[in-house]
Amino acid sequence: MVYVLKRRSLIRAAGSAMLALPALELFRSDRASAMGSGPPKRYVFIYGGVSIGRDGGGETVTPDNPGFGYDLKRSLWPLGDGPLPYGGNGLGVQDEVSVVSGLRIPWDTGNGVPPGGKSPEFHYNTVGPSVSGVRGGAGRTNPAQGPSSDQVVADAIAGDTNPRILNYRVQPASYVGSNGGGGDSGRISWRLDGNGNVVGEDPIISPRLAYESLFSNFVPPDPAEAEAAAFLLQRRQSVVENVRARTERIVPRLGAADRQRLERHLDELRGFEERLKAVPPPTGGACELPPDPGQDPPIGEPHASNDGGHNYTQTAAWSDEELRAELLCDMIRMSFACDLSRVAALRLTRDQCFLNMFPLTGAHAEMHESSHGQGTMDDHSDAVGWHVKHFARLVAMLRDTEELDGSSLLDHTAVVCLFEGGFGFDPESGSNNRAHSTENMVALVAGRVGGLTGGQHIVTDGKHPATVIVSAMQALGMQTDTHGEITGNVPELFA
Amino acid sequence: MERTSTMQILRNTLVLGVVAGTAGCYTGLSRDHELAADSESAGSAGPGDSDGDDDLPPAPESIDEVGVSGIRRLTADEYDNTLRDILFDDTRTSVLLLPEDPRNPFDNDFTQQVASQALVEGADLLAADAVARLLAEPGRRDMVVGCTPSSPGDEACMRQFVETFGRRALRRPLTAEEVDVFLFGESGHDGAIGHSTADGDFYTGVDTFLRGILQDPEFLYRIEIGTPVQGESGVFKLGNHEIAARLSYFLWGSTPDDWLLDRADQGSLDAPETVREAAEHMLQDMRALDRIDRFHALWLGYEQMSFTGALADAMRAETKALIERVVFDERRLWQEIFTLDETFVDDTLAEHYGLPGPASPDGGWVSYDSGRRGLLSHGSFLSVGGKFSDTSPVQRGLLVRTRLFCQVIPSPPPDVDPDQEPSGAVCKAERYAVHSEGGCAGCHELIDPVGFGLENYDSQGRFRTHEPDNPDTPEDESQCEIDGDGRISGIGEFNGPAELGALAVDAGLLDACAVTQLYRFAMGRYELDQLDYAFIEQVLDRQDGEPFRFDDLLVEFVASEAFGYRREE
Repeated sequence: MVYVLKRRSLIRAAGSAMLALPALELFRSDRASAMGSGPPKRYVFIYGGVSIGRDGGGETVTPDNPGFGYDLKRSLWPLGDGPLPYGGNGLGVQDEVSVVSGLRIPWDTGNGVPPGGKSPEFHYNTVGPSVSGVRGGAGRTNPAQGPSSDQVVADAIAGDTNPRILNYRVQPASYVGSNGGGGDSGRISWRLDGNGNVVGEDPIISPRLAYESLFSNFVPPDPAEAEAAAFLLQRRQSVVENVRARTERIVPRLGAADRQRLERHLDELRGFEERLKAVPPPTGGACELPPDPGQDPPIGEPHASNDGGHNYTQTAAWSDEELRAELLCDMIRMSFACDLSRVAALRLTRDQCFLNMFPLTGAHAEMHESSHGQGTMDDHSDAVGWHVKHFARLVAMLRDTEELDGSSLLDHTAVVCLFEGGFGFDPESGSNNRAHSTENMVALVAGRVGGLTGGQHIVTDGKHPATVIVSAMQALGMQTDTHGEITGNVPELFA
Repeated sequence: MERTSTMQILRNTLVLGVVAGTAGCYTGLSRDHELAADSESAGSAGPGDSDGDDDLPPAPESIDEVGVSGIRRLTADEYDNTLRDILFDDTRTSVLLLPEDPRNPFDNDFTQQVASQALVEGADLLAADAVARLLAEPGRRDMVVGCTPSSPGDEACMRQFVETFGRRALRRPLTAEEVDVFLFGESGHDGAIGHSTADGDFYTGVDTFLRGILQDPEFLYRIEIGTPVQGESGVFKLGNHEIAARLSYFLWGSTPDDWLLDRADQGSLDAPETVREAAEHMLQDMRALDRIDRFHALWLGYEQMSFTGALADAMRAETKALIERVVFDERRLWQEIFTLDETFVDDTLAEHYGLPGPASPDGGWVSYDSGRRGLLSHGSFLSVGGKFSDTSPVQRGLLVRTRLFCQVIPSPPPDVDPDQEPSGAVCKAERYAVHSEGGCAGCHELIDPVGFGLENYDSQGRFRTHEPDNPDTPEDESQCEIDGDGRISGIGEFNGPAELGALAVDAGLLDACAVTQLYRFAMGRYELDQLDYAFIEQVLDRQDGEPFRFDDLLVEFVASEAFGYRREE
């Protein structure tokens, strides 16, 4: 005889539990208690796989004037409120955003890679030092050698949120060669595992998956839909519980290396099971069930590396990154508003980004070659500007979203945006004025947490990008003055 | 030219590491890696320790050829193939949700696979999508379920479905206990039957079961356990079903079918001879053609070409037709893939190449002119290695040297920026002459002459006499005439893909590399050690230095005794 729980009784049981207290108060008090003395702190790390410079043409971001009220170069127009050359208007967040310029990642000049530095080559090997503050290895395709800032910050502020980190990538494919290129070349998040190894974290590339992961246990407002959703959720919980249990039984039968691999899978399964079983926050206020984003845009084909850039169309090297960026930023905003997660790592584009610019700006070029002479200087400014636009849009959304206490999400958030390269000396070619340079890099910083002050252009004299991250960590209340191998901050950010 | 023994080539390159040109530039296979530490300390992967247990199978004679293997996640391609074969679902949507497979050059290197939230939740959503599509198509649904339920809680029908489908999905029969858990859940209160009954719909339980089994670790991963062998800690004899999965994912890129599972159930796959028979049977299946086509495409870099559309599709069809004809239809020597004097084209591709049109506008075999022979003449292959808005002799040379010949060419030194095209002259040959100077010369002498020998063929495989010297100038007005002369240092000179293919075949440059790359593809691991090379050598030994048929190679490969064993990492 098998005991069968009737579907309707399941729903009634869930409903009676929720009715024991007014739902809003129950969950709000839970969220409030989780906040301790105030709303939780949040951190967003954004990365763009382009250089701000263009070979021989200068760079596209650094304002001429230091201090407050800096001038907006074309790449920074999205921070202002005027019309943008590729449609739409700026997001009006200049007062919230500080530009830190003159940053520099040192490189191996023959005596080994210096602390926080890189090998002389370019592409792929700047991301590790940028996100971790730890020197990379030799060569061109290096994973980070230390945990990335999203992981370090999550350890401090994520609490029991699940997922600890929203790890997303907008550009889903590399668009070059075999369109594969998975692994470290597509990551910006690395963590320390239990054995002290630095392990890469694959990002979610699907807005639909991001939505399902965050919101599939929310209760739809329509009663009939809510009943069906509750039953489906209960079945999914049962399924994942079964999968987890089966996985646990296999692990002990494996050798050490395989056991480690499957235990990692098991860890992810447990996290998933917890997410499915978590009581969703109440909707209301800023926290609400966002619209279902629907099916993901199809993933585009690779670009033709040998077509001179003249054949870019609406389809090649393009997976509607515009929509993907908007949706993933929407997820970050709503996840913060509902306190589902407090940390996000968002990679907008891959290193050596071959994204087709035609659908974005009308330029017959792709982003990587635009830094090497394809198209015009304005085209390259707009390539960088596209990244700035989505950074600015997220900042504006956070600014305009209220916490439960009436403050703004941005009041409790730090947002840091870095790019793959700057402009200056290229140790590979031995040439100056090149895009393959880690001189004159910039960071965009937004957020009001911990005394961060926006609206200024801060000129540094070759500080490491990790000093900006250290500043963000300090603003978030972390008692540290180092990230990886880099010590020190950018004190002007607290002006 | 007298054909060089492939064994002699392999031994020369492995043992001597023939140094060519400059320190660091080797024309041999890399053999830097030593055997991994003995796995004595590894966790027990079997029912007990092997030492002194006479009940355990004996160690194989080929113990020194048993390579390391680990649990392998299905690649996106394998996942899609598997859904096609067990659910008759060919939507192939996994790439939208699963993390990308690193390519090195193959997409199945298990040492690079890392579980993630994206994987676990992507698998959940993929499963939900697949089940929703199935249940929306009653005809396909009934075919998959295989019985008609008499009631929402029809336990007999559900049990039959769980047993049958579970065997296909997990590649082995489920135990009675496992079936019960799928039917009634871990708690005994839910599972497929509980959910069917609660919802008053048999297919709600089908949904529950399929969601679970498509997320099961034994579905998403190929997990081999095996039985420890006597006296050799860390070496395991694979079970029949594990061998069936090895065979099917190697030869088909997909799950074992019922025929193969039946043989595994009967214990018929535990000896080389029976594995050989199974493999010969499996090679008759079209999935084998798809898999061998994919192997060549990943190996030589044209799996996804740098342009799309009808022309690219025709080129991929051209190359697949060549493989089908040489390997499967006419069972020619594999080396003829590089020397065959006919090619399969449709009208569009024939016009593109400047060849006579086929008898049928949809496609047919036509004879080549003198400059083209085999795969190296195809637009698919020639599309690989473009750079700086045209073909790149360096990239093509590297493709041939490192991928086709399996030779090791060091990365450029740190003070060279490979994203900067050589400058100083209008024509490519003059610009690239800088590579023959100073410290660059050693490696570039191995690379550039190979690429220049293909320069008469543009990045879409069209013959040309001049290279574009200006993007706005028609090629026939260009001042840069191409002579197309190439050279494989120490081997000989050639002009064009026909002569390159013939030279490589005659010199025996391809055979050891083909087996090596096939081994990487089969084992799902790029880095090799002496155990792996011992396996490769014994496969080559069986060919005795002679050209071989690829189907024979595959059969010999899987019928090797060591194929039926695994070594723990």
